[in-house]
Amino acid sequence: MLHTLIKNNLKLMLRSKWILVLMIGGPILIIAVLGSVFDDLMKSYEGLDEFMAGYRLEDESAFSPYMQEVKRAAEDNGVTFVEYESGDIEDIIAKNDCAVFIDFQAEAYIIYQIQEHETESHIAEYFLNGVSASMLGADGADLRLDVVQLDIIPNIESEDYYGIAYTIYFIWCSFVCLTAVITSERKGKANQKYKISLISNISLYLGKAIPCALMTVIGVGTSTLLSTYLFQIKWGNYPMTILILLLTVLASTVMGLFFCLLFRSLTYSICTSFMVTWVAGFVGGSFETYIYSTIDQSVKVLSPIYHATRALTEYSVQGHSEYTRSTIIYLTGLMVIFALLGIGMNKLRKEEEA
Amino acid sequence: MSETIIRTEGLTKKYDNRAVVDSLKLEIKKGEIFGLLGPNGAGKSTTINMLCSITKATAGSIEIFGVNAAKHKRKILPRIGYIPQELAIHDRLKAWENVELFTSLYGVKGKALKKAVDESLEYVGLTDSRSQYAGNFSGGMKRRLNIACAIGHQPDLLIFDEPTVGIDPQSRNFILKKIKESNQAGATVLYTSHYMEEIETICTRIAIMDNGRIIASGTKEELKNLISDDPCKDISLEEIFLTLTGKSLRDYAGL
Repeated sequence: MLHTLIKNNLKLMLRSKWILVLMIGGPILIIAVLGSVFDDLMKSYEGLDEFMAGYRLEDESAFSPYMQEVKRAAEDNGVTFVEYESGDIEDIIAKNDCAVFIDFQAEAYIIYQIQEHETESHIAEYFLNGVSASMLGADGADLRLDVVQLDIIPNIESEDYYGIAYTIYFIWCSFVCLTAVITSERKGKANQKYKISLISNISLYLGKAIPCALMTVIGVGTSTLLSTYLFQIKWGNYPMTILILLLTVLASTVMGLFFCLLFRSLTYSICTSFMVTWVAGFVGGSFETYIYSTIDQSVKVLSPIYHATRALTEYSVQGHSEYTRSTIIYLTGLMVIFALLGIGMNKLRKEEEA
Repeated sequence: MSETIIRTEGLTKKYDNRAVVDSLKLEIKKGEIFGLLGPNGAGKSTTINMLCSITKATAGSIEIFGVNAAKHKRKILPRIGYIPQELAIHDRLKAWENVELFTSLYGVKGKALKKAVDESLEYVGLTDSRSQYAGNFSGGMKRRLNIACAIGHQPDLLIFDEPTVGIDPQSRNFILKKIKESNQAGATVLYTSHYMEEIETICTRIAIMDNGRIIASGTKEELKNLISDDPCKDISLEEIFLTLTGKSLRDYAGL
């Protein structure tokens, strides 16, 4: 009976035109738009090498006790800090090879951006954000900077980045597939028929979860193939990429199903799922790339979208990623937790309705 | 003595301390077409929901096919065909897919499932429309499909909750004819409706329900005798119903 339920629920999803349009057309459209809009910005990374940052340090600056450690961490990231004790800052910039200049004042710093070195100033800003965060918990000269790995990846093209990011983002929108089945069930009394049949709670749960996952694979899979062909997206490390995408499908499906079971209203379910996905995408680099994002690293790592996007982006440009493990653990954890919560909620709802 | 298919004792359902069904005693024998008649809010649908294990009873017991319904749900449910008041079909599935889905929920599979789908659609006269989407059906066709979805697993007890609401006379006659045929083929039928003439036409025994209680039950003749001493007087079921649910009920409520 589970087989027939899965088959027919999948048909309900496949016959919903707007779901097909959203799952297939949505990613392609957004990849095309964002890939084009951010093309120049992403290209500014190409050929980026080590650079020099000039700085001035006021005697009373809060940064003074930590300057040696700051310079060491910067050196590890390919940024050489050179001190200029006196002189007009604009003159220093004009006369020297500084890609960026930082004025460390008493309790703040100012980054002077040089027009042709916009990317370097972003990197300096990102780096100093990390320094400031580390300083908050440090005591005097005991500071040990943990900003030794900047989120810089070599030569990613905007189509590749947004191709990857929006494949992941739209997989997290898999909850929309469930609406075709849930709307149809609630329209009539199909739920009552299920209650008086021999089908178990687990089968009823799987009867929605499996077709939703399949529909997401069909929808986003088709859009991925098309966008890969149209925009020449480079994926890299296919087995790991496919594994992470499939885990994302499963995690997003059980999360969406949990919200549908948690709220009796489909509107609340969709709004909550969309909000959670949007926030995770915002933090995780779906809109602004995680490379440029000034969101604190400790916040970024909370987003499963960040882990998956970063792992797949790094596969694309360098074939491997240190985020593979955290991505797999995070997605598997979400999948197990939301599946258990969903099955529990399914049982609870059935008892409440009786 | 014929076998009892449904027996309830003291069956009660309360919502917020208000009894929707109140100490209901009901007995339906094998081979009967039992009509449950009552105004809106009388408790008919709640009673049916409790019989089908959709709703839990607050108190009392239900025996179906001689066993406790609460304890032996999995034994009883495959023998019940429930046709709900609202249409329990998916508009975006074809007629045969709807029947296949709901029949499969009772463990029917493979060739038996295919045969059950064909027979159910033929039974309700939808063979020619089997590949059409249910959403494109007329009201009458949807009602017939609703029935086909409930009979594929060949139940012994058919429970109809107002199956003819909002359909044309032709479809209504067709459905009533089929209910009679099912009964003649051996199925016991519990039928609820607002339409007196339907109950009068097909039911062998009738219970009139109001305010959660059975206020009268028996054959039409027995019900007639409750309100008139004249055996020759032609009294319609509607007159009986209005007399019992009107004056008698007020008398009862005033006690």
